[in-house]
Amino acid sequence: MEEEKDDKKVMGHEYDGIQELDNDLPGWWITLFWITIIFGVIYLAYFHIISPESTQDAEFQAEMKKAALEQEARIAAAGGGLKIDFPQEVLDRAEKGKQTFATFCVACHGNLGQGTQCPNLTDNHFLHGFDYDKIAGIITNGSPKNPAMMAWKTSLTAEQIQNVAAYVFTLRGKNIPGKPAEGTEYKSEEIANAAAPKFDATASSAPAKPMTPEEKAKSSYATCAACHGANGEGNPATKAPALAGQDAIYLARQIKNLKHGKRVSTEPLAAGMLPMLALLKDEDIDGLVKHIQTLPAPKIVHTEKGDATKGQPLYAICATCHGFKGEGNPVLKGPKLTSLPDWYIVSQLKAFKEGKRGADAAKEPEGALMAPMAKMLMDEQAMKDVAEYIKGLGK
Amino acid sequence: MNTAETAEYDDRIVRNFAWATVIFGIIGMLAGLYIAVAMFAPAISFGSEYLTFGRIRPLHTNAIIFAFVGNGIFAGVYYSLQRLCKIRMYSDKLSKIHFWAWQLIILSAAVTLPMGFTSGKEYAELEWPIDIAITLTWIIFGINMLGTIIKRREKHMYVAIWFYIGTFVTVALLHVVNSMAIPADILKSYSAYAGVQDALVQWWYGHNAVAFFLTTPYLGLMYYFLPKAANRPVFSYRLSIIHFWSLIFIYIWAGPHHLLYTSLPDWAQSLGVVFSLMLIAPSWGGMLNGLLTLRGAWDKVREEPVLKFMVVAVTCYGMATFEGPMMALKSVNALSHYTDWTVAHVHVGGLGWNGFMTFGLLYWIIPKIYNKELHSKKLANMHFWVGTIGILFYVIPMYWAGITQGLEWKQFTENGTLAHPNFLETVTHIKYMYHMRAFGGLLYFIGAVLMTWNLIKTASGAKVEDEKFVMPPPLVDTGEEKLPAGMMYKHRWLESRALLFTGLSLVAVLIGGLFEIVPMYLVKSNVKTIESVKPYTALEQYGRDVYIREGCYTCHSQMIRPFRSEVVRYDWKDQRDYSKAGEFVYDHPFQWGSKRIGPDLHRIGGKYPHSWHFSHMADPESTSKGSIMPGYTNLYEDEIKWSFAPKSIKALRKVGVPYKIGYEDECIDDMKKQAEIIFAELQKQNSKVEVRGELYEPDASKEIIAVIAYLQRMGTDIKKVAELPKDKVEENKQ
Repeated sequence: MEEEKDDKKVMGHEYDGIQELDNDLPGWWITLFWITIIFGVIYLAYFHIISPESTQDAEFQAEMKKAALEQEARIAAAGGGLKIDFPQEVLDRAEKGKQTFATFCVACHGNLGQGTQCPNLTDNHFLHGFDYDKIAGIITNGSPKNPAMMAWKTSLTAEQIQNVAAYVFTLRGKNIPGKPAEGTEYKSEEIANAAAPKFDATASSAPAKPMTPEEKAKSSYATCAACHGANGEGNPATKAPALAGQDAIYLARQIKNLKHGKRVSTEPLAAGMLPMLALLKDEDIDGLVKHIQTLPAPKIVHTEKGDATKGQPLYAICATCHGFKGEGNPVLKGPKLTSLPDWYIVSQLKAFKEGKRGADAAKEPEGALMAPMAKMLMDEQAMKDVAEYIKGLGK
Repeated sequence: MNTAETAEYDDRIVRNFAWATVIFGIIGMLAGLYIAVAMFAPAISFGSEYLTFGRIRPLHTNAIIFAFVGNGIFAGVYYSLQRLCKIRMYSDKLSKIHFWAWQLIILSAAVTLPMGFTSGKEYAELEWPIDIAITLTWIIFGINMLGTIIKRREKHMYVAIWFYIGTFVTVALLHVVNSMAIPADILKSYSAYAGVQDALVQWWYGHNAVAFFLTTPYLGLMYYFLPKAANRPVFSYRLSIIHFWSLIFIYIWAGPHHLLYTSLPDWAQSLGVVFSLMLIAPSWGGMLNGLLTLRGAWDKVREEPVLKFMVVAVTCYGMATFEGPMMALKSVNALSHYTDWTVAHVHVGGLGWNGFMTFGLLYWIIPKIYNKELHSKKLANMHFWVGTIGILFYVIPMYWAGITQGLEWKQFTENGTLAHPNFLETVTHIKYMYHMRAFGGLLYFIGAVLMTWNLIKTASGAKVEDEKFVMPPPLVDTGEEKLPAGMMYKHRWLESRALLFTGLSLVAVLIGGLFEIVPMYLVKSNVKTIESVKPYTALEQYGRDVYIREGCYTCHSQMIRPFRSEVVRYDWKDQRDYSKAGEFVYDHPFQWGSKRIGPDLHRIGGKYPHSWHFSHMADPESTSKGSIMPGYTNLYEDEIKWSFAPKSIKALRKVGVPYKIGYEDECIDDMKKQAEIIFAELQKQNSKVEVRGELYEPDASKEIIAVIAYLQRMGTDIKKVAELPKDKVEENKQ
């Protein structure tokens, strides 16, 4: 049908066998063309003749103004925040610190300290405490939890750090709406009553010296301390074993194994350790271990309960590598057991038994030796019994 | 004398171009597949500077556009032009020179791009000696084509030829104007234009490369091969006339839609918007004439792979040319620009329109010139389906990724802070989309391999014999020709006057170009100068050259658009200043970029300490966990080429950067002085970085120092307004 109709309209020419029909332009197509042309005329007329002030800059200024008004409203709604009377010295230093803050800190903490990528410094929530010393400490040495907050002592002078810390100190509790709160919440009175800062007037304006190996190790350990405790005592809540009192070779090996993925972390929270270990350079591990060894052997928190008398015969087989007194044997690579909390011993025995650790001899040869031993233990109760016996050895 | 004689078409040249199309298609797609994988696994470059995304991406785009599509155009034009003019090509010698020169150009691109020789302007990356070679080769092609047309034995030029003429004229104009540069040495030049003007010229070129290299020649090919394959008359002669002239006239104006919400003056942006919208109908005219030609032949589409490919190609053309104008609306562009949406859009055009049209054309030409049936129709059908599914797997995840990322960039929390302040977060969210895209690309590539196999099998054992045809007698001027009544038919008169036609097409495309570009130069208020913006120091300029060499602009923009979400994110110091035209006046070439795979860098200066850059550039993940940027350890090993600096200063002065006379003699000392300062700062910050067991420590003679110098300078000048004398401050507050 259609073809026949078309045929009548064939133009009287052909090119290499190609013919052309003489169909009209489709009506809707012409309409569409006209609509777009009319739109174009109206568009140009509107933006450049009728309303030439509606430029993209005007649009931008309006958007910014609206945002500024919203922010004002938010600050008003937040009650204006905490008002604290600071000593004049704090205010003077804060004024100077503000300049440094504007240069180095606003990129992450926002121009008002309200936080963008990094925490809001003006709310009542704190990750590392609200005292001046804590604030200055984090600025100096960086955050143990987040590598993005670097140690500023290599870039700022001691004087600058004091001033910035003073400025941040004055921001606390202002409650400028910004990044949602993180960390522990404190009452306004607590924040207001924080100890007045003590500044070191002799602080030099020269750049800080590079760290000594000891200082470096100490600052590295600050990261570990968040979970393993300031004295390496461990913490059952974070499932972090005690580190203090452990054999140095063993510690270094485990840190390397974890860092390079040779040892699988069995605790869910231990996954959080990996990014921190990634920041630790291999050559710094020995220094860190040395530092751990200087920590006072602390009181360990045990949480399990077992039967030491049943554990005693079971321990006989452990003694080969871990020593009759659980003191460890560096030659056979068995770690010291008496410095470990019982819950950790049980959890690791379980991990070995279930094949979560020591399954791959290529990665963790020492663990592969341990795995068959753990498999000999019947059940969790047996593990608790052994752990109970080991506890007794340490006393 | 006026008797018909037998002659032969030159089909061997068609064969050469056709196989070059196949080969470079495979290579270009492979490069694309490689960078698609590099997007989620940057380690794929194995630390080699020759294989980073920034260097291979231009290779991919250039290979696809100029090698694959380019050779496809020539194969199609050489095949169809001779048959439409009923005469052999004007000169076999020119055909041969054209072929080999073009392949040589491609080869030189394949060598120089991975080596980092680039002008830093998208789709025009090739350096000046190659640009000159392109110009000469293009002229050879033009002479050969126009020669053939002038000597034709057919009185009127068929619509396909109009498109070929439009293509030749406009591409020559675009290429020459946009490539204007002053060489500093044999493979490094600086664009003759700076900042806003460079951006306008570049996107006038870039947009019309799409229009006159990827669209008009292919429409011409469609007008020949589609009715041939369907054996049906073309739907409407009158539509051809209207859509041809409106298309080439309007297209040339639309370039500024690549620069919406940038520092380009509002009036130029508005022209870009309205002319883009006006393009819908002319573009759809081509689609309609293609699809409606198939009326009454749809049963053939079911049977014939050539037609299948062409139908999808024309449909994709229709979709892309509707979507394009929509994306050119400022409100849509505010969301879509710099995201993967753009990537999806161009690949609907690239994979669908150009790719499938080329496949259809090859499936038609190869059996024809070898005088054999296609080896396997079944395999060709399989190619069609694998390719079509590949396109879907490619574009759907990219649309998804683009819209997701675009929304996330703009999203604010109730507290008035960015919901995703860390740019990286918005990258890791869409990483799995990149996996799917690579899978789609793989399918499409497999399809092309199937085709290659099929075509080789078809050709094997056969030889191309030039087809014999009966050549009509030479044209004689028979005086006034009788035209049918009606305005439209007057065009018929023009169709028999090749040179006039060529001249008129040139006029049609010149109008839009001149109207936009000339005022940009003459009217001062278009680029308000900012007193505190000064030329780069020699070291910073060197760092900028490295930035261009490494193709940083393929992933990073330098253009903070006037949105709150962008000033808050990128203007880290004040969260107030978007990018102003006056900030770019010494940027030869501009580096605004067109895609943010990483964050904008225009105000990066001072945001991080030197040590941060030092760690980041070698091992991006050391500072930005999850980053998909490759490491650039080559910058830590390669010495700064000091002797290049004076040449660079001299060349830049020629393009208008006001370096004081004699700076070229002291610039090396100046560089070394600045490098020492950065070096000292890096040392103080205890900077070192370990990559793949290799420790890198600061060294004042390495390229990384220059890169840091450039990055730390970027976007800082405008912040120095406060240091100016009082009376100057006011004029800077625009």
